[in-house]
Amino acid sequence: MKRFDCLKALAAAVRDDDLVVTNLGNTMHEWLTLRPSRANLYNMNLGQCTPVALGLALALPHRRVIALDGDGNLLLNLVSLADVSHRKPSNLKIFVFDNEAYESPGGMPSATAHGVDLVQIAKGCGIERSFGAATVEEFKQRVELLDQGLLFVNAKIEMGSIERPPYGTIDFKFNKYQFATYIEETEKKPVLRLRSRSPFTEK
Amino acid sequence: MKGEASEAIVRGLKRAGVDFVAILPDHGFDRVQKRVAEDESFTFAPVSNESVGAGVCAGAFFGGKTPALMIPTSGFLVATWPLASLHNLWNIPLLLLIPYRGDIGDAQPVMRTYQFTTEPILRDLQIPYVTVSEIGKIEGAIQDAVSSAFAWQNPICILFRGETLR
Repeated sequence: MKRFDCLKALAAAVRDDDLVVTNLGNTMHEWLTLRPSRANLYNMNLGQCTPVALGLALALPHRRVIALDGDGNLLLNLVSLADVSHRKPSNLKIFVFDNEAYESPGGMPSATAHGVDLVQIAKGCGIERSFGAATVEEFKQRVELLDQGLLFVNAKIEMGSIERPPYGTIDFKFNKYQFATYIEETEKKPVLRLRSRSPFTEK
Repeated sequence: MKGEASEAIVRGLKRAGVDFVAILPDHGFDRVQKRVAEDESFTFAPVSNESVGAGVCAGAFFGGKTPALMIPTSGFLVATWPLASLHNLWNIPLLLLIPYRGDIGDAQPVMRTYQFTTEPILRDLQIPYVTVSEIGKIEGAIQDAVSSAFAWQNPICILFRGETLR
């Protein structure tokens, strides 16, 4: 199963106002190709994709927040699944694209290539709706659960990606201002607050 | 930390508009952490690892919250990865509250290490910090730190020491 085919199915199901947090590398480029949007927060470094999505989900409980994580990225901060379960935000949906490898730095196997089962770990943490997906059909079935509370899906994918588009690079700070101003517009509340109150700015 | 100092922190957080707090339990902060957990004016995010807490706070910022991360001195070392790769790289505001164990006068041998790590690493991460040693200065310090964190789009740290911890 290719990640791009899974993401295509997911892109067809997400709403315009769904907030999507992606990890680094190929997932980011593929998602940018399929669903370019100011509602995407790209390039979460190792161990930070699910935590950032958790914070966003807790801050905006009325918005669906989708994390597009990877096995290597999640493994670095596996305990984040326990912290997700502690609060169990029903608007958080975690999709892990598990190619059983650290593909970007050369393809060395990750722990999931040696029997570590992320679905069982998520279940063990208390995330009841935790599922695997080995085929695109199975993945589509999991995507149909998007509206049914906290969700964890581990998609077993093969290595490889699409050719990266020439425009497929987004500067972190550009992405920050795109996303933050999108939240300001859609939530009608300030996010950046560049000028805040202090004795120096208030008479 | 004394009850009086804990109450001053809670008042300071509210005055500064902090409405999201991620916490990893710490002896120095136990009273204030319980207060925050029980107070519905804060969105409370308990975490098992300080680096998760830093990431959760970054997400909360993007959701329009004013986040604070309350962690032990030792846990600051655990949080350095997201503070470097996320907050520093993206310029994300954060109020970082740390009871300064390892300060001169701290008789716990195990805390010695933090005398040599805490302030140098804050400087290396380009996180401006203030130390607060008087309970009467807690509220103002929190308000100033939050103001600068957003104006500068950068984490700001408050290290608690002296009478605030005793």
